[in-house]
Amino acid sequence: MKKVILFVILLTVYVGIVNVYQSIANESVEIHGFISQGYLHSSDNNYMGNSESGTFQFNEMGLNFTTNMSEQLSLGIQFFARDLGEIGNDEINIGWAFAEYSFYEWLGIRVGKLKTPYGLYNEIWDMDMLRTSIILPAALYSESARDAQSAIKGGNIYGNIHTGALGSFSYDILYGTIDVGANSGTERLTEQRLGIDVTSLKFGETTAIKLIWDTPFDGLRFVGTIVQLSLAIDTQILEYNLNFFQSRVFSMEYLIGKLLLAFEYSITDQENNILLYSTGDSMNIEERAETYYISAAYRFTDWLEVGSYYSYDEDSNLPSDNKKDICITFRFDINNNWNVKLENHFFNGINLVDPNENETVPEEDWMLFAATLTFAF
Amino acid sequence: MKKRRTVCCVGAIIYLIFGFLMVPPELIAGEIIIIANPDVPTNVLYKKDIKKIFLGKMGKWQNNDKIIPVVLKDESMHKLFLKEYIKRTPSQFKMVWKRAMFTGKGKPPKKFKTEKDMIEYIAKTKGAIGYVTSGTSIDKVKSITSN
Repeated sequence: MKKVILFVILLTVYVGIVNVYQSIANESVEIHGFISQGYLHSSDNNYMGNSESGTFQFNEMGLNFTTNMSEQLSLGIQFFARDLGEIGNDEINIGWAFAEYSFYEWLGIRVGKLKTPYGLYNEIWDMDMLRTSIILPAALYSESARDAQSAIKGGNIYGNIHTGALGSFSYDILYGTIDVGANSGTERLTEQRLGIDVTSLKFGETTAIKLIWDTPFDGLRFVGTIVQLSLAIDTQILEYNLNFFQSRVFSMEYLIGKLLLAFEYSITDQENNILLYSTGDSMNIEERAETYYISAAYRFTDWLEVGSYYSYDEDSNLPSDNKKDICITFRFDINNNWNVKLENHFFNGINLVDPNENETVPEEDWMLFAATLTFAF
Repeated sequence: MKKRRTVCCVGAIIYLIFGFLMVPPELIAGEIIIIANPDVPTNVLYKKDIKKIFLGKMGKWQNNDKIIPVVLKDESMHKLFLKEYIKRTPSQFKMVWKRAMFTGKGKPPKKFKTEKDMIEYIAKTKGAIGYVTSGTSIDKVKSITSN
């Protein structure tokens, strides 16, 4: 009911804003938004909520305002809310908000809450209409970690360097900290892994560096990303410190006519320290995870795109938790504003599955059907 | 049987002839010229630079003025421009600018109903660049040679 009311409010605001926009002919502020309602149904295992029985607790919505104060200075903000099982619960947050000053083609600065430049699709993860699949490959884009991966509060420098024969290079260097807020997927994932409730969760300094090489070959680009952070977690019985976390991602994207190919490979190293309050014992654990996915999408007509990917997520400590996912998506673009997606996942592995949401032992091989209806303007 | 086949063939030929006659004449590649504000600090651009400009990958001219790309609403003209200079389909082009819009990193190019409106806008807007059909009067703006 709350979601319906929120959708009606957003639509009313949009209609009102459009009328004002047209009558005053004020083009200095751009306003755009989207709402996406989804449905999940899994064959076995509850995924992010009660998906085994089918669930509509799966939606995203956003509204953004941007304006150019001068040729160099621009401001923008996007409000965002989502619901995925127990995550988000439609709480409105700031998805991104920044002031940007562009000095030169090769140097600009942004300050505020900035989407983390990570891989090919992290910055567009919140917007269903900007990608082919509903659920991005969990090898790099795990829904549980989305809150932490989404944005950094701080500042960044960025720029483009055009070399001519070697193509163009773009860079993004971000520094700040992560703030996940309440009901976060990160907190749930931590509670799932530790098996106990978290009382506080605080990120330390975070750095993200992304370099894009748009090669001289039309449609071919390579991307390298490094993200480094630290995290302190407190519970009633232990303290868990992620003293070192570094994720390095190599990405490739190739657009050949109507065919889009992508490949991403990541190596994540982390050093954890666990301190038990009762005994004062402490232990250090080092972990490494290697994950990758490969994807393809083909646009048959203006209204039909079909995509597929294979995603592999290895857990070096618990090989039984390795996760493989074959996904196929049909995207129907009804017009410039509306789209419908139908998607099926064939999973092998229980990495995505929260034992707290499942009364029985999770099934190793299971399927997930997802559908979305999205409106964007 | 032979009579029916002959009738079908003749029918198909007639259909093809009239079909070609009824298809609106499409613009031929090479009829699109690039135009820009007279203060733009170049008269020549590589095609790959035109592509970067209209895909939002290049934002400033050599004199540090902001580049302002503009497009036409006319679908056939716009499609031809995209095919000749940008090497992208209309849906791919829209997606590039939607991504910029929803990440706050850019605004989609302004769209104009007529070439006259586009020329008026480019003439008075520093850094603006667009396209028109060759033969259009472009006194108030300058043409950019592409190579």
